Amino acid sequence: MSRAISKGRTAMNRVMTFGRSGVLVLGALALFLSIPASATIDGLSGGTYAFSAREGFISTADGGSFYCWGYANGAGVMQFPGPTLIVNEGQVVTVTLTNAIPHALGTKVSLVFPGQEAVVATGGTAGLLTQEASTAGGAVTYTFTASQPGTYLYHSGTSPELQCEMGLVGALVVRPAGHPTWAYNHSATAFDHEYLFLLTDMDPRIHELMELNQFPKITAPTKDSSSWWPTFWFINGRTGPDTMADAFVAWLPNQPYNCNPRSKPGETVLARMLGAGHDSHPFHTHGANHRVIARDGRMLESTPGAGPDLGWSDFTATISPGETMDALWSWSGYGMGWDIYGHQLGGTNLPGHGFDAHEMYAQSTLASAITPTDTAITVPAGEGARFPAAFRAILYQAGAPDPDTGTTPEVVMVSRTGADTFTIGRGKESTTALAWAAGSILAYTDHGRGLTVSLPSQQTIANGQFVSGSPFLGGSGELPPGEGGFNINGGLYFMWHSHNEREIVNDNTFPGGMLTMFVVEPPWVVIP
Amino acid sequence: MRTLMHLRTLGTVTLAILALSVTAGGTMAAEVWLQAESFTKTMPDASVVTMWGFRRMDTGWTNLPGEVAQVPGPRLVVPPGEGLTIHLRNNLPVTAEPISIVIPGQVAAMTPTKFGPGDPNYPNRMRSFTNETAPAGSTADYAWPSLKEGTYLYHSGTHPQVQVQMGLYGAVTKDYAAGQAYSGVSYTKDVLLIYSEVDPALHAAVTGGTYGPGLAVTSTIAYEPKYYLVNGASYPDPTPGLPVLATGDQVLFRFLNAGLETHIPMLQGLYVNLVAEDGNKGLGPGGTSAPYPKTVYSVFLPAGQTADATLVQPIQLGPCSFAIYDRALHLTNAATTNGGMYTFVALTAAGGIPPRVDDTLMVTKDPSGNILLKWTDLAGGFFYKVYQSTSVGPTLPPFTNLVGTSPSGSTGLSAPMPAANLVFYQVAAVTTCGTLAQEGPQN
Amino acid sequence: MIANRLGIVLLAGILMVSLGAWADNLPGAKRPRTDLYGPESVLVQCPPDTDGIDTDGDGNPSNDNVCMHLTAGDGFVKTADRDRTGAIPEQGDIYTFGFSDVTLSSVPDLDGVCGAEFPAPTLVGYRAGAGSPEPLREGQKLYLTLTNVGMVMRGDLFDPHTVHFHGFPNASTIFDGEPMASISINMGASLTYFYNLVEPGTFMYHCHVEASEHMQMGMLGNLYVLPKQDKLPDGTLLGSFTHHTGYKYAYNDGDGSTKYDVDFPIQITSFDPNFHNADLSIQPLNFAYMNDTYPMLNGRGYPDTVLNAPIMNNRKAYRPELLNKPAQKVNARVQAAVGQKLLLRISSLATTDFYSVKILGLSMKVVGRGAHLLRGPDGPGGTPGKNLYYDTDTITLGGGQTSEVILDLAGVAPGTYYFYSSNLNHLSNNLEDYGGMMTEIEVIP
Repeated sequence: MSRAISKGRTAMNRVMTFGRSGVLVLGALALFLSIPASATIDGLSGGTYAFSAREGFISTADGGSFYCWGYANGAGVMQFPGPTLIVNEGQVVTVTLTNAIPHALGTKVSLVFPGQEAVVATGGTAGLLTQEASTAGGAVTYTFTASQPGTYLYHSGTSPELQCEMGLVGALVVRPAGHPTWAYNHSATAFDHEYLFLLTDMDPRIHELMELNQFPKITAPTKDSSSWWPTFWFINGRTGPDTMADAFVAWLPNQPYNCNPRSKPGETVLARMLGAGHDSHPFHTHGANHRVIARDGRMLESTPGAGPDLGWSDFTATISPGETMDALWSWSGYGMGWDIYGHQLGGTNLPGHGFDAHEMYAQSTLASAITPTDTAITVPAGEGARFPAAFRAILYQAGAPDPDTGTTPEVVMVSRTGADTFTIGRGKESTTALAWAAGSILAYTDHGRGLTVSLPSQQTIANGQFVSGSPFLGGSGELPPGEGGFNINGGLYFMWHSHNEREIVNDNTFPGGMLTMFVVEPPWVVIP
Repeated sequence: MRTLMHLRTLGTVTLAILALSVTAGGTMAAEVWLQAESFTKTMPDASVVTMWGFRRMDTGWTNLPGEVAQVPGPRLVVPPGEGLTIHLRNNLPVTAEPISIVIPGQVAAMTPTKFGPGDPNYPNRMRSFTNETAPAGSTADYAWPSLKEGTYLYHSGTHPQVQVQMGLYGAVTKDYAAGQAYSGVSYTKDVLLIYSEVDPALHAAVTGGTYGPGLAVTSTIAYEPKYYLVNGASYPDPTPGLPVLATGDQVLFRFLNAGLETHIPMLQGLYVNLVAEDGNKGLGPGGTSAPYPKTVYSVFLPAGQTADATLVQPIQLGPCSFAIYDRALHLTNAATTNGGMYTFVALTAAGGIPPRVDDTLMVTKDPSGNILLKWTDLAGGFFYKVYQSTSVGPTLPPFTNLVGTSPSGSTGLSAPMPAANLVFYQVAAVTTCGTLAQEGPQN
Repeated sequence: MIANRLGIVLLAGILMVSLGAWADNLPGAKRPRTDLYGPESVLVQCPPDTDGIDTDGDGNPSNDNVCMHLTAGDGFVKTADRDRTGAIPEQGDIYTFGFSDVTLSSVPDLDGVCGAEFPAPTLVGYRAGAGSPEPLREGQKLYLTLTNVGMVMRGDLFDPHTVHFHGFPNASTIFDGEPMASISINMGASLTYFYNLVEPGTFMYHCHVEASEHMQMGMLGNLYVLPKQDKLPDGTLLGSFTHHTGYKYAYNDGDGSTKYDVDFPIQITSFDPNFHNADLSIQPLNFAYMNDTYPMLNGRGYPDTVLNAPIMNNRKAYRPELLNKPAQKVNARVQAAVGQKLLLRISSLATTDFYSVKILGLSMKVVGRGAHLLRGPDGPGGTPGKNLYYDTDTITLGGGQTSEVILDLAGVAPGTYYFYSSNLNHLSNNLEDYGGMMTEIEVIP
């Protein structure tokens, strides 16, 4: 599989498990500087492409198989969706399209690129929207300059109500020049991981009738595009739970892409969402709100250079046909009222943990930077914006006695005093009140705070397959036979799905459809 | 009594500038006389559907020559600073169906009308959002003494689930000032597009007397449209009421959804700034400060909503036409493809023969080792495209290798040094619609 | 996810650990067990607030814990095309799954049997010493106990249930209620959820087990959290705005811009009667052709949306040992006075479609969505983000979406204004005309 940018991480130790490029520049911690984001959008780079419109079959997770059309990469097999094109800002994109679809309703196909200005199409014959390529021969060349970064759609401009339904859709990702780990030309759009969410919907009867050459059907029971009724829903060309299988699996030869988003606490995820079907879908991101940064490939910016300052926060995004939406998402576990890692003063610690693996992303990066005698810390200019406005955090000082040994640790409290400045106070944590008390400062800490309820016994609960057996991040526990088993790292699995719940089925089988699981992995997991 | 002036009639949509008249209270208000009638419409696939529509009448309910019942109803253009009075007359053939007019988005006192407590089917239920115009030729007046500026739908407020989809809707617009739709939103031409649908089975039941309690069709819940209209027409019938755009035009798009389903007008090759929703300008406190328009190429337009948008790139070069189509894919006439919600907006040529990119194309090497191409911006094109070719021969070399695109007004492009010794370059101006306007000379 | 073992069907003879009088369900009555997992059938966990810290900002450090006890099971409600003359009592009956509020019940498991309400009871906070429950507030800690009382009409089903607090910020999976990634509670048992309410806003909740079925069947309810800004000392300056005791806000806006006088939650839902009938009569469920024809607001179609009284169901016809129950206690009739600011907390848990709603004659300002203030991200140093409020006439929500709108009724003529779906064919109660997704906003002088 091709990657748009090279993978590679500098050696990670525990301190930097929340690494994010360029957060803190503090001498010995230069390792923070250049951790590239992981590239998990599969696609084709280069800028010059040869597409062949082909027919083929796709699989749905209920065992269905349906006749579809798709753009194949050169001499490859038909794929749904078409290849994701990944180019850089300013790059010239040339797509030469030939048509190998023998079906009577597919003798002409084409490509349109919503959001791309000045696309020039040469060759073929003129259709309603653009030049079209004929099965009889000849190619159409579409050229444009991807002049603006963003997430874009492409699809057929020939009878789109049928040809998009049949599968002639795909995505185009344009990276900002010089910043492959940003979504747009502003540092506030930087991400640690990016994932594609190309949403489509399908009426299988249309595909069956197309395969039998009986579409549209005007005898009862009739079926034409005006009576479209979807019963399958897809993310990146697959129905749930095939969305969570690997990309390029041999048993889904015409559906190469998957949707397997993962991150670690504190990391920023870029969700590139596209509506490529007939219907709007309310896409719900369990676990935390996302913040929208762009729509239709344009950053939501009040004035040039301001960054995405017009982006709103939401938990369910309306992804409508033709629209693209980019959003940033992050999970930190802040403010839960109990320690997500299950640290308990005097109790059992979980492997791989130290104070640095605290759920507070900011705490871990600050913690590693604070020396034993600091009374204040200044982060690089502008980095203070990464922390909440009224930021206060409890840390455990590097080198302090491990809480698991039972000795009362010294705690460090960090409070914001300015844009990029923080004071540092020190004191003892009271083990009975679990509250910070140093001088007159009283604060509330989750570290070491246990669950405040008892969980029911295993005889009375049903465990999902993504349950680890422990409520804690990175934990595991005993499970009855046949339950759980799919959560090897003890991550937190959040369902990302269409919230029109009818759409999380595969025809009559629940669950499925427009559904995948977002995994927040424990800090020591390496995400490729 | 003053008569109304016709601005022009395009297709079956009439634009009207409503003349001033002074009401009893002394306020300025535009006035119009609308009569609801039944009429038939032939769809592009030759099927005939009975519709209801508004027909503009003269004062005193005399006929106006050339005016017929139409869908959508006549566009009402209210001059800046004025209110609106609609005189309504109910000439629907259905005996028991009163009508009314509401303008969603206008703050107005509502006096809903309910069925009586003794009604056998719907006692005490709301029948009309406001006061009614009784059947069989009765008349009533509806007044908005202070009409908020913007783009709005007017439609029947009676039995709306039936009457609106039968065709009793139209657009009403009022500008903030001459040439300004809203404060700070200037335009020279507006493209008004009303999206709607037709369920022929429901029309047949309503007009054939089989819709109603205890009859074959008792509610509209099973609404399933087969035809999709823009300004009352389905492709390949041309969208009525469109202006022809010319270089220098500041274009305002007014999108309205009079249908019952969401539509997504998508512009091909162009971006717009959404400046208003439901007649409310911009974002920001009170809507009066600097708006934060969203720059989009697709307009999410749910049922009953209106949206105003301006083109991001000014109109610069034609002749050509660009497409706006429903990306919710209502692009058929029932089962027939290449139908439904396609609109093609035409641009004239820019003041005659467009100027060419002149002979000043120069190719040099810039300090970083790249090729630097410079030319004079004479074409005023939407973009410039720069091609290169390395072929040599008796015939003109084919220029197919796109080196890059340069926005209008810029006169240069930096490109990587080509490997070949002899390279030809060509600069071409591109129209607003994305087509090549003409070819420049080679260098 | 149906558990792969038989559960215990709850009827009168169940083995239960009941806590008796209602006071036992409230803080201080019961301490949580010290082992992490323990067997209980009806165990309400509602610990006292002993941390000595006032987290909800009302000045009292020992009243931050609030509780609620819900049962999950099945039941019956009435659709708005019900018979209103008394001649056909079974007309309009529809089978549902749902939640019921049994916090004050001495026999919660029995009260819950066939006792599903629709919409599910709005989540509120019960506290010992408080006369009646109060809306949830930022800074409180909510202990929500869910007891699965089984589906008495379907002896063959052993579905577990959950509560998904939709939009809860930085959720943990253990309390997120999504069954593939979490635990769900089997019949005859209880699970207590813990939510540290750190953010105000309009959320919603629903069962997430077999979501396409359980949500269609009606396990859906309103949920909102009031902001701490309400509790600021009298005279506090918020920018150029002065807070006074009694002022209420949708969010901690910092400038008073979301101040309101009256608020009202309106939840959009819809039913497919064929699906509900199939569930009642043990038929295969047709997910593929799920087609909602009863559009509703707060669980009712017009004109029941404007009916003040609770609507009695007809469950006695299906369970003769039970009396009929007012299973639809909430209406959608809004009332406010001229000059007031009316906050509508609009949410949708419809399972099949987006719905667009409008209010004829009044203007809406959208101030929040997704349980967040409609504001851009904060700038460096904590400067407030860009104000993104906008005025509109149409709100379009798909399942799982929320929107807060404020209507400024200053200078508005008193009267009846209609809040209705502009997807006009949804002004129907299935085959009955003049119904569906419509309610009234009555503006009094």
